[in-house]
Amino acid sequence: MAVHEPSDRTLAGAVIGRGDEPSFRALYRRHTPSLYPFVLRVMGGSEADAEDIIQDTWVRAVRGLPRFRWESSFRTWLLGIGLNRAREVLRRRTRRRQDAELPDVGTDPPPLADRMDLERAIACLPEGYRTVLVLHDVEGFTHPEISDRLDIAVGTSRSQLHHARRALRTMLDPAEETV
Amino acid sequence: MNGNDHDRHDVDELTAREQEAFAALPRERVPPAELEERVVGTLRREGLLSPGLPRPRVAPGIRGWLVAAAAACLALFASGVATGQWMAARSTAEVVSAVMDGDALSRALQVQQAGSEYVRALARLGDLADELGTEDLAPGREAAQAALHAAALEIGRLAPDDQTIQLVLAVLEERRGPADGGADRTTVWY
Repeated sequence: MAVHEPSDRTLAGAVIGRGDEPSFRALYRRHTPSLYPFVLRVMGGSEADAEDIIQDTWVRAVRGLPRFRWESSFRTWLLGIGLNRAREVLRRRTRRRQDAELPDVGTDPPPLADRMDLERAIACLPEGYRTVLVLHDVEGFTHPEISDRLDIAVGTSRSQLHHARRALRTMLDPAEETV
Repeated sequence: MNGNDHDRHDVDELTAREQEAFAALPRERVPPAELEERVVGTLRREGLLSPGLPRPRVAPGIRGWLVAAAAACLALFASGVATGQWMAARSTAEVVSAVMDGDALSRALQVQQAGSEYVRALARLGDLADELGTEDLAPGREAAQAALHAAALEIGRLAPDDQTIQLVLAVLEERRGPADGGADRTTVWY
């Protein structure tokens, strides 16, 4: 961020105080490029889903800005809102799938003979595994942080990551079971 | 989000190659341009954003008397401050006496309230400047200018030595030329 650019807090203040659109656009352009791939990965690569979630995330963020206490960075806070919204959508889908008695799996993986790239393999993971793996291995969250954000035990986070990595290795190189 | 420093005891550590593969994943991606407009549109509809720019443009003809109006408002404010200072400088007995005599305090309050309402009404008129033409705005402009002139005359009567108000009066008198005279007036006064 260049020195002369207003801080997130300054821009947020203008949005809260007078609904300042240019300040909002500046915030949006600063943070959406990192929010978008994160949400996209959690949602298994569906661009339409990711765009809907980005929109909901920003609406919730602007509504919640007056209550944000700036104890974390704006980016971390925004990522948290995006993650919660993405999980709501995923949970709703899981319930529908369970109602229809469909198996709980990720996107249909392509034939194993085709060596997949990592991005596609992540998208093919089951939802629970995928979320933990994206948070831990891509975004750099620790297990206690993941436990806190997803409201699961630290052990569950570790276990999900273990299964996620195994599944990834199988998809990426079925013969060696390594990336 | 402090990296994975205290997760070093994972049963299945990533190999160096795997770590490289994860590190190579793009962390940023620009979303479609129309998404920004969609988000802004939703926030506007929900009343969470208001388009800040461009600000309503004021026609050049109106600008001159708006400047004069602003100057007169400043003069009104200054005379209010002066009245307040005069009141504060007097003893309680003198103030009570003055209030009893001329009810000066309540009348100063009336001036303040009327002045605020005048400015609010002008602001509401200014909001229409983009939508309406000069002709449509003329009655409002005329009413505002007449009130301004009348107010300036009264302030001048109160403070004949005040150079600021004399300057404002001079500008207003200059603008009240023949073209601005009574024959063309459309305002109905109540």
